[in-house]
Amino acid sequence: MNVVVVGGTGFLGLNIVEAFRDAGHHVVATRRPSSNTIFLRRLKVGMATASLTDVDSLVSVLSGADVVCFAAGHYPRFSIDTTAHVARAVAEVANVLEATRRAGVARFIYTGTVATVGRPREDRPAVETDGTAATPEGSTYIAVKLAMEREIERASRSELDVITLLPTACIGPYDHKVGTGFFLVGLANGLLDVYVDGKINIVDARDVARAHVAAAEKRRRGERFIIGGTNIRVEELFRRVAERFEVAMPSRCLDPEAAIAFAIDEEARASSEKPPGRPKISREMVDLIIHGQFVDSEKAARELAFTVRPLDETIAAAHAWYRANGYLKR
Amino acid sequence: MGTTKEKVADRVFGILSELAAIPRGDIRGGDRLREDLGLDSMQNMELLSRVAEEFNIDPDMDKVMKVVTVDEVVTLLAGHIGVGE
Repeated sequence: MNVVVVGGTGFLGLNIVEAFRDAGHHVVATRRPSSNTIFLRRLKVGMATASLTDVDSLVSVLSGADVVCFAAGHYPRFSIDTTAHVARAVAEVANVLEATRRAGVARFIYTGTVATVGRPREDRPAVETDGTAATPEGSTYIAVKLAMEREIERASRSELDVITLLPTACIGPYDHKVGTGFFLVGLANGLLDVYVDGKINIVDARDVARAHVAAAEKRRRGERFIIGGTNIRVEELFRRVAERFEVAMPSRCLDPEAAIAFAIDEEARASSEKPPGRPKISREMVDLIIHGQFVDSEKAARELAFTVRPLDETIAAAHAWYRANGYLKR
Repeated sequence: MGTTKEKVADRVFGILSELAAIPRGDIRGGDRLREDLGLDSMQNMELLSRVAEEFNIDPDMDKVMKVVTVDEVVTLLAGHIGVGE
């Protein structure tokens, strides 16, 4: 198959590109003029410049593709000005969908997030049929992702063959901007002095990437799949990492209210720095943890032959990647 | 005519001027990317990535992460190309 990965220079995008390449498909990744292409160029796949704000540039890259993977969703860095972030994200999704239609691509795979999955009434892990989450007050990230998924669902009801994959918190190689793996880097470097406890699910980015290949190869039009790994509480996860790499646990566990206040202060501090700094904990991460839930990926296992590798293997691979690429002090 | 360290420096200064919105003549080799030129970590990475792409080199990320000044960027990249003065 000819596969175009929109967002192929990012963390998940690079893993997706590698998985399709290794499965024998012909891959082209899009990049912006400003993208870090150091890792993509090592994968020796096609690379084409396209912008999410320029439909024509997207049509030209997508023409001739059998599958487009959209792993380039807008990712608000700070939870400030939700309305503007949502508008931008929706406009970008609409452009990619429009380009997909115009280029006549048969299948569209959207990489969303499990944060959009609704909460079950009973005490059990969430599944796809639990519907869509409500937007927590003040959560820019979740508001953006819900709005994007609504746009995708609209397209799915029309003529497009859309599959939505909803990965949980991804850890693994190629996390060059340090996303969810911030806890690994932060703990290992002794920079994380506070944390917030809650339910989380950690999945290996390489397993998520393989789910994209399976989704492209199997016909599951209009379906939505949770792509999760290990259900674990944050405190237990941190303890495992701390023990394994012989580093200290953060000294303070904040309750949800204190954690939100802390993250808001941290984002205000970081965003006012020149150049903008990085909050110790972002509002997005706090929201994802305090509204987090355990999930069940049985549907993906059944229909996409999705398998999960052990959490310790994932943590070790991510740690090794950060170490090899200069992110860890020791 | 092959690539020289001067050519690498020329591109590094050109891209830096664009990214930091500072006139090229005001940038000095000893300037620190973050503290003096105001580049954030993503712009820093963009600089390295763009020059690496133009000269078709594959810099060692472990070294990229440790770069502090403009001169260090030039030396790192020139070292990968294997060019002299």
